[in-house]
Amino acid sequence: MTTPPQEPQSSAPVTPQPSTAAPPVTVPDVIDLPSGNGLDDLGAAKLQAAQLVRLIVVAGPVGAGKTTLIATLHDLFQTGKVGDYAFAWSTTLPAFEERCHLSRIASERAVPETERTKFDELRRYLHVQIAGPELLENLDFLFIDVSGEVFERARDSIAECQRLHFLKMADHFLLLIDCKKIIDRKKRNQVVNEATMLLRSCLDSGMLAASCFVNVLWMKYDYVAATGDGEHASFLEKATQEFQKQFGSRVGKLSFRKVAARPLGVEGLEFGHGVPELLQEWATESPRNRTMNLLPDEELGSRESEKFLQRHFNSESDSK
Amino acid sequence: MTASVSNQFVMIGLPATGKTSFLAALWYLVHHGEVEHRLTIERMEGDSSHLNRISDLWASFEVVPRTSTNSERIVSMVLNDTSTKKSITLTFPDLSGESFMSQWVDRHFTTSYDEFLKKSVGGVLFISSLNYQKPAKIVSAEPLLKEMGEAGQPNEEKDEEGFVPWDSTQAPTQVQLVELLQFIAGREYFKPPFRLALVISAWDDVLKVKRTSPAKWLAGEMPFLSQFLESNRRLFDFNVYGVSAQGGDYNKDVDGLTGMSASERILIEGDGVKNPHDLTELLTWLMR
Repeated sequence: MTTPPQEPQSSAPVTPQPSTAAPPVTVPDVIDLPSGNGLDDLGAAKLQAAQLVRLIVVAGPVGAGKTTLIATLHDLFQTGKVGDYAFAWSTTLPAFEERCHLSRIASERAVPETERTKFDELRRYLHVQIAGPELLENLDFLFIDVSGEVFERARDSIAECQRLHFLKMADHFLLLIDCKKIIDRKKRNQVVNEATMLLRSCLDSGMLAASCFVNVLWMKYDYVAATGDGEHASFLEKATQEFQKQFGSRVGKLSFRKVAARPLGVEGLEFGHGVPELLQEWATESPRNRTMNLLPDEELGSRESEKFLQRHFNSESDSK
Repeated sequence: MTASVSNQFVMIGLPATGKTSFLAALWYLVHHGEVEHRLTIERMEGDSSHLNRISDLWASFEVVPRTSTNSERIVSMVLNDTSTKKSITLTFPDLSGESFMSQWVDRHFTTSYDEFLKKSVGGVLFISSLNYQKPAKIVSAEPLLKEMGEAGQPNEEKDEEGFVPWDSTQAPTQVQLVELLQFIAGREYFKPPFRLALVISAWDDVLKVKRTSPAKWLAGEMPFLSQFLESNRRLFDFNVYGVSAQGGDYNKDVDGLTGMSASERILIEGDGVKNPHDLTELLTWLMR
């Protein structure tokens, strides 16, 4: 809402004036509406306080495809449901549109691109609400779109990682690995190693909860598919096993997905390849959904405190 | 005389979506008995000069001028429901499409629109079937560019730096419309379910290409908007209509159109529509 102009403070002595009608009050002729920009930390916190929201952290180095992944979800909803899920609401539509712009014909580019997220971007949360057949109510997601430089610093320094407070709230932590670099045999070990170091830093710093679900995403998978070289696929398989060995027991769930957000003419890979399956995973699985053993075994204790521990922190039921 | 029931509705629509043509055709229809229609004029009230002027133009196959931001007004009609014999006062604001575009671009309501919305029991959302922006992706155009050969090769020089910066007015129409509805549902006084009649205008033009239903057209051409509405039935009680207020293209179809009565030019289709010329069926659905 526009604010009526304020009278400047004056220290001049007040001269008595003849009684006159009160000055007209300026009535604002417009009412401000939500900006639709990305949300800042406060905006995101308010949304999370008001309703159940799943926070998806999209992590990876510069150019791995973090913003592209988020924009692709919005683009997929433009043409229909994504898997079984329908678009229901977004408080950040202009922010999504701006991120999609360089992949649209309106940008007059010849090849699709995504603008790089600024290092100091504060309005970094994007909101989407979905509806789905097995959802009792519409489900809200917040995606955090942070510059790759932030994660590169977090990988190299525990102190830097501890500044990323949003990690503590993450339901799903997406670790993006760029397959365009994987097909370079000289660089691929380094690429996987960097991803490993980032995840390790997030866990060792105590910022990423042990219950968090981690999705390792082989981004731009169309580059691997286009080579037709089984050796690259074999490399991904070995890297997957290594991730499992190192982190399988350190996080709530570790899963892997091949994603090609904007595949370049590779047969069998459609626009947004892998995204519908990811959305289903985010919608149906959350570290906050845990099976509670409401009727614990009798022999495990008779005290109420013991039963409480059994109900809420039963490791066996958590792993189900 | 029966006490009149007041019904206030908002007319929502981006520029050139047929809002004023709809009003012109409606005003003509309720004054004439050329075709069956459920709501008829009971009496004139206040200043009808605007409605008379646009209705005259419509009846003479002349293009009804679009409402500009400085010619916005509220129009009222006192109608009689021939089925229930009740008197109904219908009130609509005839707002310019630019003022709705401004909601998306400049992110504000005018206070007058907000006041009107507060008292409204429903709305009519106009969508042009002729003129809407789709979210055209570069990857979708690639096969075409390849077919074009050299002419379609990427312009590397332009790719480095040259691109058109983002302009919110170029956003897909369906995204803009979702935002307009989110704005309505986000007001603190909003009381769901809000009755919403969606009007796909120039419906005759759609039918020239293929036989379809208005709801199917919406789901196919504006899936984002369609999903939003389906996902929010708790908030919006909606029905989709295909409407041709003009009856055809005045440049191409005028010979055929002059051979019928003016009211017969009007075409309306949609779930529950019994009489294809009776625009007032849409209004009775809103008031049910």
